[in-house]
Amino acid sequence: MVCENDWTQVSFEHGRTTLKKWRECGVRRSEEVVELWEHVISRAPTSLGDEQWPVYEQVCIAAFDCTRVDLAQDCIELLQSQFPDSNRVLKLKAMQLEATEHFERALTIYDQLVETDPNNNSYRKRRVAVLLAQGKRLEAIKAINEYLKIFLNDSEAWLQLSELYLLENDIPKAVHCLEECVLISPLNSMFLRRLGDLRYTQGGLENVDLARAYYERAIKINSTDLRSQYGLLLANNFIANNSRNPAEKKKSTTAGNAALDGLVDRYQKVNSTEIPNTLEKLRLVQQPTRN
Amino acid sequence: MVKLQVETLPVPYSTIILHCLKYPSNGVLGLLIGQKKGGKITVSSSVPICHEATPLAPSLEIATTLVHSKFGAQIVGVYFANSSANDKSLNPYAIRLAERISSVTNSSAILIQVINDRLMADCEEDRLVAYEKETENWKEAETMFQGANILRGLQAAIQKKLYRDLNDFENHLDNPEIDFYNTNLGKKLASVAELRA
Repeated sequence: MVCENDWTQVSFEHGRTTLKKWRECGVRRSEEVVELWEHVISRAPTSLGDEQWPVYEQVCIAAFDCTRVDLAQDCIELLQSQFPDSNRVLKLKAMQLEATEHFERALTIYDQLVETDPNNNSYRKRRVAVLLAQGKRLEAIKAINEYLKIFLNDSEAWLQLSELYLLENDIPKAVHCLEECVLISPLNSMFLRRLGDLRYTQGGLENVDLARAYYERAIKINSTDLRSQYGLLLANNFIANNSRNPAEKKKSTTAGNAALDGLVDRYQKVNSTEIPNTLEKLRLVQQPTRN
Repeated sequence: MVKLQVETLPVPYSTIILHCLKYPSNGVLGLLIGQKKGGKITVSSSVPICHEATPLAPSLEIATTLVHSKFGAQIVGVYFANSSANDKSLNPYAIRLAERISSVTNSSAILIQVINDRLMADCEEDRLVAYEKETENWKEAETMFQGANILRGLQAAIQKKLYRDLNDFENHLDNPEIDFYNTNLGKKLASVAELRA
């Protein structure tokens, strides 16, 4: 993997495409966005043509994240003069209030935005973010539940809700949220794996058995997912150690060791020896079957 | 009772802070490696584990198994930072992990919390607070802080953006080539920040 650590020296074109890529996949690399902007793109923003506006929006949000109030303010002013009546710019202003911890004033703007444009879910999501920033976790849970009554196929919101339930130590509810995610996108291996993780954490043979099924499915979809491979190993080993059924024990031992072989193979491909040697300790010995 | 003394050497100290800086919007969690001598614990190394709010059993189990086989009973505790800047509460996931480590190493593990609002560059206070477990409660231990010396080195490391070189176990799970023990970062810290290991 090529790991780029310095964005101050890249070409303008490379900087432009990188920003575009990050914007489209929604990754949060705020500090690097600001660096790219200041060292590369800000040299000639007008040459971007119409692309400059989404870039200003992107840089503005990144600037909030890095507490660069000055830079954010510049972006908002430029966007404001270009789009004087835009709700999108108004949202940025509300985010600016959030960044400076004027939460109540931000909420007022979001309420107003929800009213004028009830179909735009991003304003409602910001309201949840404000509650979280204020540390009001229970209120945030309530707000997301309300939100999900309207936008019930928003997996990002279900995932966030699942995390909040976990912080409240409520694994069953967290599991329910993840099940919704799997229903929404059954081919997303991350959701399946996460559901496996939750079931494994819950513990008990029945749950770990479910976890194993989720990991198996996740690997079928994405065979290179290291986390699912580890999950499969742990789940099988747990069942092999705790099941009272000799046939099940035998089957899980074999499956666990197969998962381990897969992992060792993965590490050998990247020339790593230390971790596979450690993993060998997790290898189970097949017990002779007693009749 | 005499308070336990906790000293974090410059390299693990910087690694912990760099882990926080790499993920400014997340909480982080990692393991502490060191020695216990009488009433004093010296943290000589740290292993960054994850940057998610709610780390679940499987990845933590694998991470501790791997680190334990490398360092054995030298795992002395857990460090963590909460995701919210003003949140100074003890993280339940960090507590659970520390208790698990205590039962594996058979000696009581410590907790180190990063105080988020002291991460500001101009803050001269110790960014870390240590806790030890006494019967059922976690109470603050005494940290031995080298002050200006450590902060100057840290400043140089931050200026060089060394946090971009740091990797945790979660990064390793995304790409098995990644070394979450951060051997190279340790070397860089030693040269850039003139920190002795």
